[in-house]
Amino acid sequence: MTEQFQPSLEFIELLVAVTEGDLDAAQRDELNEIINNDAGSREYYVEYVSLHAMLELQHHRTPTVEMPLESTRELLPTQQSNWTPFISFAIAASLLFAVVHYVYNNYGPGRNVVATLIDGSHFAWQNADDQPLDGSLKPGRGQIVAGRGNLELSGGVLIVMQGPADFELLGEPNRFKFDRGVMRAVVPPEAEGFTVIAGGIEIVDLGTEFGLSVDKHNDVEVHVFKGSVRVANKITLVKDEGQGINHKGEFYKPRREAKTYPPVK
Amino acid sequence: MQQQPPHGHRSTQPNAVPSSNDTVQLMLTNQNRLFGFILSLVGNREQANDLLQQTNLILWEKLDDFEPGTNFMAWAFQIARYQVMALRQKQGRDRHVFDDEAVSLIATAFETQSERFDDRLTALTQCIQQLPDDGRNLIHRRYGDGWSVKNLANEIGQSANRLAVRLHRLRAMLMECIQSKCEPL
Repeated sequence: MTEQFQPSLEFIELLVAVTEGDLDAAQRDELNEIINNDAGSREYYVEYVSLHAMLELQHHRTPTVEMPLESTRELLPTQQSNWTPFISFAIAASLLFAVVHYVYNNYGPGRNVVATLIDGSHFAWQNADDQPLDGSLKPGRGQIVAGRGNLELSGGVLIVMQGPADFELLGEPNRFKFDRGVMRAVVPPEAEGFTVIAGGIEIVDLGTEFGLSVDKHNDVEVHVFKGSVRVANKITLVKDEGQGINHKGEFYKPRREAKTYPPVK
Repeated sequence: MQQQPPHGHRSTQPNAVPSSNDTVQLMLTNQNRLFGFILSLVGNREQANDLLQQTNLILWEKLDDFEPGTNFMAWAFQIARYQVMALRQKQGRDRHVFDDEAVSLIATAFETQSERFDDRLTALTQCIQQLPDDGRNLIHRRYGDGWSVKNLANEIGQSANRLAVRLHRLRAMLMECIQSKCEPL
């Protein structure tokens, strides 16, 4: 059916809004109406969104899911009936840590372990052959779809991430790439100089603990909790200071409050 | 620094949950299909992510209820669909999701199409290779690098509308190519 179907410009706008996550309430109503009344459009819509999901899959956005702890199952009825952001976070933080693991050909089995997954035995990996089951991690890209995840880099840095988050374990023990989400880094003295690459800029630790967020527009925000941090080789932040840098490299006052960064357990 | 699992932890180690292990694998390997399904029902990525999370929690809770040999995806879709409908009931007049009729119609269409998901995925790999170089690069930047159309448009100095249309055309080409490679049911 779809090969004969020619979507209108208005319908195309709605499809694009869906794939970009920009669909507003009025557009949703419009799309709702089309879906209810036009089988051809409906089929096209489903095929289009399905393709969108497949393209994400083709480009390494494949989630696997950590199994929840038995003790936290008791929280589920509360979570299902009161899905507030706070409960969502609390449940997600303790329960569901879904990891998307990106497999690149250049990350072969012979590569060195560069990090340890804290509570690693709790995690299931979609490609179990690619990452050892003992919690040791090799270079590669990953994603936390929801909940919190803790990694310890081989240089000693503790990374606490809150999903959804995209990251990459690089081949160096003291460098980490963070593409999206919210994280906290706790850097021991021996790992001073630890560098996070986020949104195209480098955040260099000068002996500290700091929070970092990267949003979908590639805007980066940094908050320092202890010590100091050098941002984009332009400014140095000290304890309790924060800075935002947008995707054009312009500085702005950070929107995120320091207390919203994931705490260390 | 690695911690021991607390008492009662349901490990994913093969020996820990032998009765549910296959079902766990089904759940793990079908996350994208499930996400696509939910996304088609709500039309919003963030909302779809939240609903996927809720659906996963319920799937996990009910894992032992699943009968091996029956259609896992139909079961998972049904649970996801209930989550979407519950969200709509909760949001009421805010109308942030499609109405129940639309959800039902989309779900039916998606479930039918989903039976060919793996074939379509294989075809997609081939079809991407058939795109012109600039189109393939654009798809890669949009999906591989995760750029939004707006940011990508800024980066390459094109209007967002023009770029969105270009991306749409590429998706339409891919849909047509996939269809030509996959036999209809």
